[in-house]
Amino acid sequence: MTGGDAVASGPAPSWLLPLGLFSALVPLCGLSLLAGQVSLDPGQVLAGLAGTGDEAYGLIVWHLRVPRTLLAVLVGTSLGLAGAVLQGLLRNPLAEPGLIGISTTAALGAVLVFYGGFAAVFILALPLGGMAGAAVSVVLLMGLSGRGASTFTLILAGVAVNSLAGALTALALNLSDNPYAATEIIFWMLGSLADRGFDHVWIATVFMLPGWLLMLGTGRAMDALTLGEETAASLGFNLASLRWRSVLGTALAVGAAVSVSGAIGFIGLMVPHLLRPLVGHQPGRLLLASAIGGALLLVVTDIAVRLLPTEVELKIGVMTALLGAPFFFFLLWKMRRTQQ
Amino acid sequence: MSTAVAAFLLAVLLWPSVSAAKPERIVSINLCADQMLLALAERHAIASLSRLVADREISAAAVEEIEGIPLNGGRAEEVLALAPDLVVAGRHAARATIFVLKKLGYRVMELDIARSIAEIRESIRILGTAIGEGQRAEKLIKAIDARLRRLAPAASGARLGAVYYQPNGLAAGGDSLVDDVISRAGLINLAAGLGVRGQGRLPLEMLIMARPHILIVDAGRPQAPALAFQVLDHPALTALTEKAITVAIPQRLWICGLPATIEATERLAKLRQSAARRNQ
Repeated sequence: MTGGDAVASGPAPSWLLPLGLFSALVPLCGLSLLAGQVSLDPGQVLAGLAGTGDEAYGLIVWHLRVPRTLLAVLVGTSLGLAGAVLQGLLRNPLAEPGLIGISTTAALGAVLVFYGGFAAVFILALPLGGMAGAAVSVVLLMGLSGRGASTFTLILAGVAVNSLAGALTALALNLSDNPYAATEIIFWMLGSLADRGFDHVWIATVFMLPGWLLMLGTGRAMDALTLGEETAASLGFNLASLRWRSVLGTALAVGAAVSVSGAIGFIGLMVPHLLRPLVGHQPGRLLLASAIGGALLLVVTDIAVRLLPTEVELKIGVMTALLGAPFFFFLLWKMRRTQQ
Repeated sequence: MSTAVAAFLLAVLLWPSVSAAKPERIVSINLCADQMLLALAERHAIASLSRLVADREISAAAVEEIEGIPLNGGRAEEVLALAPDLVVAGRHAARATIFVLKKLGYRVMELDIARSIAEIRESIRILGTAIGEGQRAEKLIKAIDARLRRLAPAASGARLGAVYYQPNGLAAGGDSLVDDVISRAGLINLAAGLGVRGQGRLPLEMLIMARPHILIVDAGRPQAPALAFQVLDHPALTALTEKAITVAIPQRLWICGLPATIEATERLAKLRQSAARRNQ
């Protein structure tokens, strides 16, 4: 018998939700190509894509809006998936790359590499720095949860990690000789997809793809884990392997994401929670759905920051926090009620 | 009797302004004031200049001009130690320092930020009068006017669109010194037409749609990296600069409104002339 058989019969076919989310994502990406400071109609965007229209349309669509949309998809996928994996693995409903400090240490790693001048010499150094930073806190938090830490211990550990990594990031930026560096903490702490280009897309994809594959491969073991560690092990699942695949996958995907877009919070918290009832509370089936759902949510938020009439474009992390922080509060409130 | 009292009162009233007319220990805590003082004041009357005046990127002061002049970091304590009889500061910077100095009874002069070449002339006149160098100020203004008259032919004829694009995607918009310099050089500041005022953000998309003939950028950039400069290396901008004429203007020429700012005008006017000829 395999662990998968016990959980394969859900309320609906397992491909239905991912397919539904994906078919919503595609037109939203189309909308994202329409959103910008210059108003182009769909015909002009298509002409820009095809290279038949005005040269300026081509430049705007291909060099600015396409890479931006792709990055929103890539980063959103990474954050949504990592949130689902962390919540399943730690069996902690509040686990999320931002809240437990992974994104902040990833930002610290990327900051050290970028402002140290290494990214200018070797372009892949930037995501590598982000991944090294992410790995530090994932390993730390795994160690903590391995000692039977409660839901709230993990979140408090995240508070400590976030403060320290945030302070070290500010220190590193203030030590830079470049007068602009100190103000750039806002990008690293809140994230943005503005004015990114295809080189950011490539350097992120190279590391995100293997990260996604590692995480998506944990589905059946995640399902078994809901029965408890001992049962999962007796069903033939190697929990050590599950753990290192989750750690490595999260570090690769979140580290690469943060290194090109800064730390964008709450996507990994909201998306798995919103989708969990739709997959019959099976963590394995939640993975692919959360990945696509994360992409969807980030594409939508990124359209919103471009449409808002602010003088300087709002950092996307502000928008995700406006949605995510009340959501987080609601979760806490709900958890307290069920505990009582 | 009454005439004696009147004379005495007059003397009392005039005394402070007479003594203030020719300060002997002038301290500047502002980069723009530093350079104005170097142009107007007697060398021995300058007690100290701000530290920024030694930064070649943003200061037009020559090394030999400032050699031997003590530099300060602009804090109230340092200024007090210098025992100035006049402190020159910028209008919008170092508010707390200026407040303290005024409260302690020091004479503080706040120079306005010049938003046009006309305001540079005005600043020269005001500072010149305040430090008792009115004649020198008038001579400097005359020299500026003569240079402006000479560049008129280069600035006449077909007007071409230009944008001054800076790190973080900032551009000089209307109601700014750069805007005045660009117009006087016979160019159209496209950022002003797009609604940017002062120094404001001009999204890359809008810059591309504006199709500038001339793209003005800063000469040189810091060695240490920063995200702020990534927008200047963006492939979309690189594709644009292949079409446009890119010209690098040192920041020191127009970060402050100075006689040196006329040089920026002259450079751009010459560029406009040769670009217009190429267009014909």
